[in-house]
Parts: sequence; structure tokens; C-alpha cells
Amino acid sequence: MRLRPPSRAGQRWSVRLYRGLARALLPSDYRPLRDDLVATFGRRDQDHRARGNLAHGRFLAREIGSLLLQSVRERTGDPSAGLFRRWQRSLVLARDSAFLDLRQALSSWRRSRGLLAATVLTLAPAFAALSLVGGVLETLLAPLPVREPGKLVTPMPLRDGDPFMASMRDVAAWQKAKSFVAVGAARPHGANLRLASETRRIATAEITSGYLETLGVEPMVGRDLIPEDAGTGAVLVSHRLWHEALGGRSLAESPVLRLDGGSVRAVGVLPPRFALPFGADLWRLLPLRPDDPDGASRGLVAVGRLAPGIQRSEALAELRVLAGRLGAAYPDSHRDWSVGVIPLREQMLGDVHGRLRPTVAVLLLTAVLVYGLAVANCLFLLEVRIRGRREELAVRRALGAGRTRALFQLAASALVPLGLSMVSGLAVAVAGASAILRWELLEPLRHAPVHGPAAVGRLIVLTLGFAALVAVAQTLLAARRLPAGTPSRAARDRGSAEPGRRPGRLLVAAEVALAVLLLTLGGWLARTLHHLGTLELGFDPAGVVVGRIALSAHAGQGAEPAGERRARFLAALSAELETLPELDAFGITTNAPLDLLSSDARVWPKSPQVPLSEDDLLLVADRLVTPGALATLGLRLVEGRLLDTGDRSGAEPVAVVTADLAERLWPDRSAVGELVRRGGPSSESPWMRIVGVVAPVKEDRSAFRRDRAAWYLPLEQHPEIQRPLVLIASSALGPAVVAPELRRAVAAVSAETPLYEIRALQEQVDDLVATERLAVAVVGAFGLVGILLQAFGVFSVVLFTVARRRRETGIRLALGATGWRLVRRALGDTIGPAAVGLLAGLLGALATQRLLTPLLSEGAPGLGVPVLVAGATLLIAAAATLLPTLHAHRGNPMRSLMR
Amino acid sequence: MPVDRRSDPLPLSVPEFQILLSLVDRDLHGYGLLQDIEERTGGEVSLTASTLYAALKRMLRDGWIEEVAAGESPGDARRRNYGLTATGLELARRESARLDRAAEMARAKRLLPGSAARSR
Repeated sequence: MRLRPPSRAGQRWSVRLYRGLARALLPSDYRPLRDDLVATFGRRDQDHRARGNLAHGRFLAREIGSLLLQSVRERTGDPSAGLFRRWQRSLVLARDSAFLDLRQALSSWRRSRGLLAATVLTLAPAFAALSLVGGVLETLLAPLPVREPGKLVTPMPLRDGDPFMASMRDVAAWQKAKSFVAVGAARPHGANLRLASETRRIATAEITSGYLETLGVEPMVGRDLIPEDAGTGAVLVSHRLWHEALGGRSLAESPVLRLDGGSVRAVGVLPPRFALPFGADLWRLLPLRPDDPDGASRGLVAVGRLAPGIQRSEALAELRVLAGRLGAAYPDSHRDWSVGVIPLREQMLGDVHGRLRPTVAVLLLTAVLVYGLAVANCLFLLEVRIRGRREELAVRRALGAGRTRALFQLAASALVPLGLSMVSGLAVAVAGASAILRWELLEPLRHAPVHGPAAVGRLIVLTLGFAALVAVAQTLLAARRLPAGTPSRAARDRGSAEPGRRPGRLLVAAEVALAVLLLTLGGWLARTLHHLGTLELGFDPAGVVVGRIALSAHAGQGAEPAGERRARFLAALSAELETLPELDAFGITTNAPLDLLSSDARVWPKSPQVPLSEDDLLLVADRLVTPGALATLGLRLVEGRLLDTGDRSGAEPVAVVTADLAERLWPDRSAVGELVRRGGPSSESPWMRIVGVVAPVKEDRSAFRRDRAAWYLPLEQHPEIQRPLVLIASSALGPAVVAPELRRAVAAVSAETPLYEIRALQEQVDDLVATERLAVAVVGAFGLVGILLQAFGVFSVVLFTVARRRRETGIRLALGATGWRLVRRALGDTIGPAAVGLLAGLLGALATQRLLTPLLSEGAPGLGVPVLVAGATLLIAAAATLLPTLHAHRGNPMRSLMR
Repeated sequence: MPVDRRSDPLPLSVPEFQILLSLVDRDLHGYGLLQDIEERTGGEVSLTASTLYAALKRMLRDGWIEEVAAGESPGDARRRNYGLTATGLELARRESARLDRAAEMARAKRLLPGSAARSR
């Protein structure tokens, strides 16, 4: 299956632009050469486009600048382009007058520092929020190191809605689908790479021969893998590994790498940043043999490139039909399986449940809300300021200052708080960006260029963009409020130096609406997080440290069977770990709970209480463990016993199952003593006796929000099953203290076996709710800022209303009005609009509830949160009204009158 | 002071001299010229497309270079190939000799290592 050549549609805009400019700017005697000039530019454009956006941008700027200069030279007949110098002189003049305006603005703000501080405090958080979210979004949407990533999807088999990896049979069937131009697959692995000074664990992958072609990736050095490479030790290496392990050497002599005790030869280097799947550093060929016995096992990550004009939904429909056919052809392995299709980007982010998209949407929404609140406040403050300066501006205009000049002065005056807010907002954003990117959710993006000066540069550009929007709004407002240019009108303008009533009411309504929306979203998310935090895990992660052990496939004596070698290794390791006083308990398992990848097994009972049909597929999380592992994890025994040292090779095969499996098969009697085995009804695996039942355990990460049963089998009784091992140890001292000790113990047993990815089990648990935590933290912080902004907005509206009415209030008080009546009047001004805003905010929250559904746990989006929020918002609005009103009316009415 | 380039073309501008050098041993199209100049000078001279074509236009007008039949890619009608005329070759020689004399002077003043320094 050949792919189309890379699309050129994307590069046409720059060539079109250049052609248009060349036509418009260059004199007619260029005509015979013009097409040739544009063609040459087009070739260069293509070269620079391949070097990345930054290089391409620089290239375009240089080429277009040079074209402009050339046209000036040609048209003026002046090779030194003197016209530019004349332009330069006008620019200097403009700069000088701008400098004057700015100086004047600075001195005028010095007189109203309070207003300046209020404006900066209003705008800075908004800039910080928007820039931060912009930075995160940019990271999430950073270009993938593949061609046309929008066309790439990951099909995955589904069982009861649960996503699984694909089998060779699936991939072979999908390759025949008309919806795809190409389908490839990769099987993730790990391997121990022996370097001069150390043994390092690296991620590797076996890939089908069409995998890279599907992704649109070609080796930058050397060649792609071809079918003849199968079994020859030919591999592709990542750009990073090429430099770190091979010193960037030429591949002409196929340099050798020592991998898992054997050796492989590098024949090609993939481009920088390419690390699919799962951060792989080395790729070898996987022959696709769907009819092998191995063809049904699900361990592949597939990727498909959609055919032109085909939507994801159409591909899904076709794959569903194929899934039905697969079920008929392979009833043992494929009956009742469905299929899902998700964008490659979501698969790469480990986001098979699609929670990332709503998270990003919520982040964006909240940031825009905060920005809206801040801009509303800021415009109100500016209105106050313009009105305060009306007299001065009117005099200036009467003395002959033009409208544009006056507008420039106002714009310069707005630049001062804008600039200050930008700088402080940016500082917060830069500090916050690194904190936010530490979240596990964004971990798969570690290859994306999100750190360093370039990222800060992009944040600056973003902030400038948002500030420009505010500046435009302010200038438009200023243009409307600019006083007329005649002295008589100017004199009339003196009377109306306070803001009107309408903008104030509008502001209160808008701010309350935005704040209510923000807080309701935040409240719902917080409830969800709380709910997830209280889920029963079934194990106790406190103090437990996990680390992976990779036993080399070729380590030790080559002739020794893998099972015996593992048993010998584990015995020696146990003896070594026994001597460590830091450890309270330890054990080995094949999967730590909630790991990204989980091994599952089909289970079949000998005599279930509930009748089972042959088609019933009971899946359990399949864990092979040493006896110490269950105690170390703190599993709660419901009945029977846990595994012990007597459950060794040669003794009766036994199993410990979780209570959900026991209840499913033997609802009314004890499961202890029952027999189960691996596989379906026709399986020939040995029967295993259930010796214990433990409370349900959240073993499976993808089923975290539901339950899946698990079983625990003694590692020693299954020497035929080879899987990577996980060391679990519990200690009160934490991973930082325990990790070096554990590493030393493993190294003492086998120097060729690294212990890697050591971390606290608690972290693994916390990661699961990282999406929710991120959302809650951001929305919560924004909500807090939002409510402060709201209070501030209401407060400033009331303050200026009180100021406007000071005379009127004085007269009323002098005529015998009571304070209470005046307070009621002030409350009427704010509570009415606040109630309208409240309603709008609640309606908005209900409308956005759908957006949040994938993030919220059941029962979270009730009415309790909005009611609470409504009450709090109204209270704050009332407090913001009462404080300035009461303060203003406490004094002597005569003094108010005189002022 | 402006120089009348047609009556006294020397010294040549950097783009002009580099273009002549590139065309001494083979005909090239615009893109090939840019690449050849960049490679030969190790990136020290990197012309934009418009600078190249401004120079090409002058040199065609003055008869230093000429259009020749496209050799490398006959399929692309837009692409023009350029070759050196006798005038162009002569100019390239004279400019090279001029630069050589200038370099000799620099050697004599020990600004450059070379024969002048060694002869002392």
C-alpha cells in the first residue's frame, strides 16, 4: 500500500503571497524572470519548511524584506534605498511624540495611583490566566512528529466498553478496510541496553513493516526496516540513542548495540522527537502472522491513516462490520468484541476515555471568563478616568489638539496600566507554567518544546495579543467619550464628570453572571475530585515503593530455562532484601496496581453456582506474585488465607481471588476450595484451588472508575509465564531513602539487571485523578480570582455611584431621610442587576454541564453547588454595596453637601 | 559617488562575482545557483531569491550571462538555465585577478599568511 506523496497544499500560501508581492512590487522589466524567481523561492520555501516553523518564519521574513528593499531600489533607481532613510526620519518623529505622550501619561497616573493599582490588580490575573492556559493548550496541540497527524487514528478492540490492545488478527483485518490508506501496528517492549559504564533500561518496540509509512515518518539516516530484516538483528534507533549510545556515528558499518545480552545492528535513525509508541528508543521488525497461535494475543498498538474524505465515524462503522466478521472467523478470541477509534493524539496522551478534551475546554472557558471579568472591570475604571479627564481633554481640544492626537494621548495613558499588568501577569504565568506542566497528565508531552526561552517568548506573544485586545476596546471606548472640540461644549462637559448608571448596572450583572458560572463549574469539579478520592482501593498505598526489574532474556547461563533462572534470581534477591533493616515487608508481582499496562486472563470455573455459557468471557487482572506481595500491598482478607511459602512449584496450584469474582460465580456460598483455571471451557491449563478471597482491588488502571476482578497466583507455580517483574516494598522511610538500598540489593544479585522507575505507589494512585485535580486546581484558582474581581467590580461601581450622589444624599439626609432608606436605595442599585446576573450565570452553568460530563462523577452536578454559589455571590455583592455606602453616610450631611 | 557600471564593471558586487564563479564550469538554474553559492562559501554568502534575480536581470541585460537550453529537468517549463558568455568569463577572470592582487598586498602587509611573508 503506497501513500500519496507529501501534500503541498500547506506551502502554497507562502508561495502565493510571494508571487503576489513580486507582481505588485517589482517593475515590469522583471516580467520575463518573475515566474522563475517565484519557482526558485518555492523550492527554497520547501527546504526551509522542512526545518521547522521557526526557521521557516525567519526565512520568510528575510525573503519578503529583501523583496521590498529590491523594489525600493528598482523604483527609485537608488541602490542605497534613500527612501528608507526618509521613512526612518518620520519614524523618529513619531517615536518622539509617542515618548512625550507616554511621559505625560506617566505623570498623570502618578496623581491617581489608587486607580492605577486597581487597574493593574484587575488585569494582571487575567493576563496570567490566559497566558497560562494558552501555554498549556499550545503544549497539548503541539505538532506531533508525524505527517498530517489529524488523519491518524488508533483503532482499539473494546470488550464491554473497556479498551484493549489489538491482536495481529485485528490488525490484519483492519489493513483490508477501505477507510484506511494504511494500517500499521507496534508492540511495546523494554530491553536492557549495555553501555560502556552502565546497563540502562530503554523502551523498545516491534513494528510491522507498514508502521512508519502509516505515520509518514522516514529514517533521517540509513534506511527503513524491510521484511528481510526479520530475525536478523537489524534495528532502527531514535535520534537520542544514536547520539548517546553510538556517538552519532555513520551507519555504513551497521554499528552494534548490546541489548539484553545479545547484539543488534542499527540500520537507520529516526528523526528527533519521534518516540512512538510509548517513548520507544529502538525498533525492530514484527512479521504480521495472524494465523499463528500467537495471532490472538492482544498486545499491539495500532495506527491507521484515514483515506481522503473519510471521517472517523465512517471508519468506525466499517471496523464494526469487520469486528463482526472476525467474531465469526475466530469465535474463541473475537466473539462479542467491538471496536473503537480514537485520534492518535488522544491515544498518545493515554486518554482513551477522552477526558482531556473537556479538561482543556474547561480550562479555556474559565480563562476566558476571568479575562472577561477583568476587561469589564478595567473598561469601567477607564470610563471613570476618561470622565475625570474630560475637562482637561476639552480644554486641549479647544486649544487646537486634533481628535487623533487626543486619542493617541488617551491610548498612551491606557498603555501604562496595561504594560504593568502585562509584566506582572507574565511573571506569574512563567512561574505557573512550569508548575502546571509538572502534572502527570502532561507527562506524555515531555518531548514537546514547552520549556525554555522559546516557550517564554510564546507566552509574551500571547500576553501581547490579549493586551492588544484590551487596548483596542479601550481606544474604541475613548473615541466614543472624547469631548467635542469647542470651548462651549467643553464647559458643558464639566457637569458630567461621573460615570452613568447604566454601565454600572450592566457591569454588576455581567460580573455576577461570570463569577457564578466559574464557581459552579469549580464546585462540581471539586465534588468529583472528593468522590474519586474516597473510592475504596482495596490496597494500602501508604509507604509502599514500587520499582521495575528487567531480567535480561540472555543473562546468566544460556542453557538454563527462564523459569528456573527467575526462581534462582528471586531466591537470591529475597535473601538480600531480608538483610535490609529499612524494609517492613517486600514482595514481587508482575504488575503494580494501577499500572498503565495490565495483563488480563480469561478465567473458567470448574463448578460455578451460576450456570455459564461457553461464550461468557470472565476477565480478571492476572497477577503472578511472591507470597510477600499481598501482605506488602495490604490486601484485606475476606476468608481463607493469603498465599504462603508452601505454595511452591510442585505443590497443588492455588489462587487467591477478589471478592467480586467470588460473588459473581458463587453468590451464595464460599468460593474457598473451588477450582478455576486459565482460559475458556476448552482450555487445558491445570485447575487451581481457590485458597483465599480478598476484598475487591483496583488493579486495572483503565477500569479505575469501575471494577474488574483480579486473581493472584504464586509466581513459583507458573515458571512458563515470563513477564517483567515489579518489586514492591513497604517502608516508613519513603522512596528517596529506600530506592538506593533496593537498587544496591538488586545489583548485588545481578549486575546486568537494572531496577528502574522507582516511585511511591501513592503517586500512581494520585496520577489517576490528575486530570480532575488539574481541572479543580485551575478552575478553583480562577474561581477565586473571579469572585475577587466580581467583588471589586461591584465595590467600584458602588463607590462611584456614592460619589456621584454625595450632594443628593446630603440634601436627603438634611431633609430627614433615614440611613436605612439610603442603604435600601443603594442595595436596589446592585442587588437587582446581581439577581439578573445570577440567573444568567446559573443558566450558563447548566448549559456547560454537558461539556463537563466526562469529567464529573455520578451525582456531582446536583443543585446543591449552584444554590451555595448563588447565596455566596449575593452575599458578596451585598457586602461590596454596604461597605462603601455605610462609610459614606456616617459623616456629617452638611459636609457632604458642601463638597 | 554613483558608479557607471556598464562602462567600468569592476569591482563586481558579491552576488555578481559569486554567480559568475558558479557558472564557470556548468550551466545552472536559479535554485541551483543559490545552493552552489551557499555550499561553496560554507553559508557565508546566502542570497535571497530577489537579490539573485536582481543581479541575474542586470547580468542578462549587460550580456555577462545568457539563457541556455534547460538540461537537467526538461519537464519543468518554468525553469530557466543560465550560462556564462565570453564577456562574463572575461569579467570573472579580471575580477579574480583584481582580488588576487589585493590579497598579495594584504600578504605583503602580513595580514595574511603566504608567499610574501615566506619570501622575507
